[in-house]
Amino acid sequence: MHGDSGQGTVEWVALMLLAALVLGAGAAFAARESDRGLGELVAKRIVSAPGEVAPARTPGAGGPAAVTDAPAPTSRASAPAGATSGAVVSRGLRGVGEVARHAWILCFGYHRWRFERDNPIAAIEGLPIGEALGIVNDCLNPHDYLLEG
Amino acid sequence: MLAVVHTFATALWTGVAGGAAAGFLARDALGLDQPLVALAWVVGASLALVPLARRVRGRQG
Repeated sequence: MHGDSGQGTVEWVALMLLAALVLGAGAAFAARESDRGLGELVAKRIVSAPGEVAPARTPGAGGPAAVTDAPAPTSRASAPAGATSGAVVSRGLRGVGEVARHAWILCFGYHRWRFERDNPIAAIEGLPIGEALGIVNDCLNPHDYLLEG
Repeated sequence: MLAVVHTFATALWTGVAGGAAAGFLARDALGLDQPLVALAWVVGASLALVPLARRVRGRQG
């Protein structure tokens, strides 16, 4: 063996294959259920504007005529003054929630940067799997935050 | 059944992700002590779950 650089790539490929296998098995088992409404709901959400749901179309009623039957988007400017403050609070809460839902990934970057700073050689060799799992545990495990700090 | 599982998984991940984001800010960025980190985790998880709960409630009623 000439060197062991790049071994992390093999491990990651194996991990990705395992994850794909598990997800594929989950999808195969889930497909046995007859939940036809979910596909229709997803299609409606895709074609709908934010905040509204497209009306259900009967088979054969598609085409330009169906497009003109779609309801016009509601105007926010015509809302009463009392409702606007509630809408602002609601929008603010939604924004904070969105930030809170997506900011966790910063933790991965921060811990990775700290590892590379403390172990300069590892930056060109790739992150060891044990260290990667440790970072995931540090960043996502509620036990660490709630009981260990 | 699949929709219920999807909603449950979304709520679980939303809570964990929201708590992790706020906990990371409190622990690593601000360097706060353990009780405050735990409090930040709970607040972050709650804030992330509020829009989801409103959406689910709006869909049901």
